[in-house]
Amino acid sequence: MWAALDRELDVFLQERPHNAKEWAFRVSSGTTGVPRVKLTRYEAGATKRFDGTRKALVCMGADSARLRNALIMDNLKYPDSPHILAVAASDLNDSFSVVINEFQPDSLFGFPSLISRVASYVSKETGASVTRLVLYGERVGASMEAFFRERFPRATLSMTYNAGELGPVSRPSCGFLPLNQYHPRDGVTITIDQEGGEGMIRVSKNISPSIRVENIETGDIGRFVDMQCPCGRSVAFEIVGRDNVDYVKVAGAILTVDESDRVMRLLPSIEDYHIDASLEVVEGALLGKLRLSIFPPHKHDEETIREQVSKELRLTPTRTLSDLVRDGIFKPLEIRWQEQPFPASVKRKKLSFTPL
Amino acid sequence: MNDLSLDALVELVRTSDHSTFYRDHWGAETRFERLRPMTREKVAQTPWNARRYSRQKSLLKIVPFSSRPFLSEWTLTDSALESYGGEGERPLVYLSNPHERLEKSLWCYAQGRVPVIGESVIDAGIRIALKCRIDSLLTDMAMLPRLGALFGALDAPLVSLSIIDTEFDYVRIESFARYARTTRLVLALPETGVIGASSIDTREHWHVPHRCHLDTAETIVISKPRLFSLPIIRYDTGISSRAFRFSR
Repeated sequence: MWAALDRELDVFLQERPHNAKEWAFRVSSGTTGVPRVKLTRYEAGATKRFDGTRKALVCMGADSARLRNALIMDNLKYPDSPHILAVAASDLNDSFSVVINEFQPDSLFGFPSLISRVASYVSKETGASVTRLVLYGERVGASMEAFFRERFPRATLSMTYNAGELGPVSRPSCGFLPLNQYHPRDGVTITIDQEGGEGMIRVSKNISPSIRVENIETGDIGRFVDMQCPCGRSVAFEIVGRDNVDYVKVAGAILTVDESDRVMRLLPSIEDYHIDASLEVVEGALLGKLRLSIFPPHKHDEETIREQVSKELRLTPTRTLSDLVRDGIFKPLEIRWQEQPFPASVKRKKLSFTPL
Repeated sequence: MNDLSLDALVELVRTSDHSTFYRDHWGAETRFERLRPMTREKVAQTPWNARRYSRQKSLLKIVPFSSRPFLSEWTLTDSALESYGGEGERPLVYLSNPHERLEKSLWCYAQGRVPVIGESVIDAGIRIALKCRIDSLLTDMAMLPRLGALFGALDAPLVSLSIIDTEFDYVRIESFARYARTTRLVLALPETGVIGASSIDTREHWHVPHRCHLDTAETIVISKPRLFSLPIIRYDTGISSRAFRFSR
């Protein structure tokens, strides 16, 4: 797949495109350590993303994703809306509440984890001015949904399923499906390796102007939903979790198994471990949380291990767990002692994510 | 809206139904050259919605400022008219502020070029830039020294290097100038756009942008004859004029 995308990119780069605003570079999140680039084409006015929106707050991690949203706004034919403010994680400091409450968005677009962090800066009045949350990319559990409904009481919540380099997989929400359920986008075929009804979601679709891929693993676990939707569609699927073998994303940070293995190797007394990532509501704010389970137990060393792991474990390119705890983004590391060796099935996956 | 005379702009702003921000600041004075300069502090202390003179679709940016950050709003039609970048078909936009990266990337689109926007993870951003075979760069003084790995990996010199900032360390810039055929210096603030432009080779002389009016008594006070969302009328940039010699 990537060889074909690279060839397409090479051809594109050879001459100036007829209409630059139809083109953008989509960059993958780099969880494999190698950032990837692929070409994306937008036909002017083809998206309805900002229909009915006057003031949009875009909450996305990658600059290229924020740029694509601004480009879509630029390509719209409406002269007077929307107004877009695209926030980055680095904007979220003490003074952010001043600007977000001045802007008073009516719609928020982006990743649930970043929106949940933004929500803690939003005044009650601003929260009430939001009428739409459009969520991408991460499963939303019942507690997170309740958190959003409490912070944005007038907002409708909808979700769109994007799968990394594959781009959009689902249609925009039809308004009838519950959260985490989707209709496939036109031209997209979903297959699920069914084991007890749930399995790896695989996608076949056109991923660029000239390349179609077949049965690509998304890393997400899902199931088909047996239903006839009031919107008229009969195919829907639900995301139930992630097959977290390589990394987990939580609270805007990424923990990779390579990084956790590296840090655990610094502690030779630890034979095996497992880290569960989750979110927790603390005084109205959503914080990331890591729970480290260790075998064999060394209970007298708990504080030393917590300090060393927190100081070493890098969760963003520039910040460790200690930094994120200090900045109020993560709770302090929780340690559990595993009295028995890990069962084989857990041992295969050193990382997991428990939805809120 | 096309360019106006400064007098016509003042009249339009004075009689605007959208905002009384400038009118309240100026009082009864009507002569352009005697209007009380607007300050960044005043803009920062005034809510965004109270200083807007147009309602066209727009991009908002968060501008860091000493007392508190403030929102700056630009329509893409207006920002497209600024002269931020130089020659080059495949620009990389790598300014330190993510909002400036975004706006200057949209500026590249407006010039008919598909930009590569620098990601906050520098290693990744540089790899992406090289993969897209960038041939020009828009950056600032804070980011420039962090891009050494990019310069070292280029196959050929950049067509242009544009440094957009309010202060310029010429010694440092010269150490990177060999990686580009031309090195442009662009004096600009996020909320005013371009104030002046020069190059590393001609830095004794700064060009004033087309139809832009500068008053350079102590600090640079700028006016632009166009009805921006926040009009730029006798706007005190707070930048000392001593470091810059301007000419048309």
